[in-house]
Amino acid sequence: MDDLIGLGIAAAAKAIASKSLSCAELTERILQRISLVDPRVRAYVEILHEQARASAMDADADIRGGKYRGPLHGIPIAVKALYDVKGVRTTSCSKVRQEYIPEADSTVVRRLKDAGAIILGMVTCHEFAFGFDSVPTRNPWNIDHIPSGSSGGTGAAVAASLCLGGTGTDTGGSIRAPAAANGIAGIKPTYGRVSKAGVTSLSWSLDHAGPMARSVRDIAVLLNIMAGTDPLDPHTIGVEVPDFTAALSGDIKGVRLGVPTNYFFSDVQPAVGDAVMGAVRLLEKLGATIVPVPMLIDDRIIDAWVAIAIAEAAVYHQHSLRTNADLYGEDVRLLLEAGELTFATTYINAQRVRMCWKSSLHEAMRDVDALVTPTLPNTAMKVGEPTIKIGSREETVFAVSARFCAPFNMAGLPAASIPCGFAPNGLPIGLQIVGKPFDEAAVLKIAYAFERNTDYHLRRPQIRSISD
Amino acid sequence: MIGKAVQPAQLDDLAAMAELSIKGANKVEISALLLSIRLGVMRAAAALAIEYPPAPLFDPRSQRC
Repeated sequence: MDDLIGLGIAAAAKAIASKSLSCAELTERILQRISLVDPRVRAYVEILHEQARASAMDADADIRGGKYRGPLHGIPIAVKALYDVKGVRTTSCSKVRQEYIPEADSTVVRRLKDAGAIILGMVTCHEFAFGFDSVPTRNPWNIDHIPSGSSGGTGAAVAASLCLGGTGTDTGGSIRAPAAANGIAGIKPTYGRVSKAGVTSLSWSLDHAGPMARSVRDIAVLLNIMAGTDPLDPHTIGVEVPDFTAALSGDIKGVRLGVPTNYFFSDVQPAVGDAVMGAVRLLEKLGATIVPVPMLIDDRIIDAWVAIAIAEAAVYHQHSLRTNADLYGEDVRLLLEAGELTFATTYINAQRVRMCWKSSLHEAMRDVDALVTPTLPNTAMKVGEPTIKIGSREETVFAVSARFCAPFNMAGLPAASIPCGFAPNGLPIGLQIVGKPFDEAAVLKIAYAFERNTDYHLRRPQIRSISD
Repeated sequence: MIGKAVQPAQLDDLAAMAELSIKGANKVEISALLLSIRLGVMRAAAALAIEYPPAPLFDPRSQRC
């Protein structure tokens, strides 16, 4: 891999702004890498060769004309196949949507394009984002393992340097889990921070849209563009959007970090527990005050999350489940059918449990600025592995992936995952940082302080190209 | 009552009430999932006072901490 391929967004933006690198050159190199490496990783559903080249040439013309749009100008980006891109098949990785070609961009894609980003193509996700396998995509750190999901295509593409950043969605961990599994950074912003207009819904009250990239600075740059109120999405809220990169001082002296004393460190793989506790010790060394925090949580919060997710998803798919049921994958169809048959009382009680969890979380976080936990209890599972045994539990990929992430979808809080180590099997481990509502800046500040004192984010998977 | 599963064979009738055909579905697994969710949610909800309200749906302003 050469230096150009390894550039992050911030570094590439600097080179483009100084005219030492053209948008066309950068885009071409990434497209070349995709053609050599993606046949192994299988992150892309559709590669927009000609559109990307044309956009890059336009971006260069803009620069020559004195119209520099900012730090995403000329930056090649991958889009999860759930986000509408005008004129491009947006399948949600489902046979149900094979022929869907949007007539308009989703708000996030429009904002990225307006900021000068180059859309390289559509990347895979679990069908309708309802799972954590992301078949057929493979984990670039070891292609015998899954990239997690549901934004597994974005996670794998970013890690394998097949784009400089990308979009994800997160209903129960679908940005953070693949960020952890692929050794990259990702943030699920506060509910209402980023528009979901033009993004296929899984569960309206749990869905979040957000960025994934190789460094904390890069996700901050992307979030600056993605965030903001949107008249097309009534769930967005008019909270001021700060410059998230301004929070990246590296100084966390005086920051109070809550470390849960229960649930979030139970039944984790030893390497994960060691890496996360090592990260906590480093954050303390950097000036943070560590505060043990008891949490009012157990597995029933996951039951409530599932009840809400499947019931809301069943409404979204109500028509097509009756007309095209055979086109759904077996796992997704089962969840939708269960959602159809969920009692209203179960759904309403799940929302009451959710309210109780939010209130208890409010109390738990009263005296801290953020919480830190493992993102996942485990490293990426092997392809086709139905369950995993950790400690006293044997869980499916669905259950294990949601365990530490989904509680924060229930609360709508901002939560990031950054790499904090590698297991003996060579697979990355993620650290989850959870902030208070609309305080993504604090999450990013803590994440950046950790990142600048470690090198995990600089490591790259040694994936062979098809020419090797 | 809350601990009783809807038997797989009964799911067809339940689905038919919603004009949904689930022929060919894995009814054993659906039944087990529904029971598991209902038990977990009901047990958690049983600890709440009856006045305790559901989370306001779709209202980001309800976020707090």
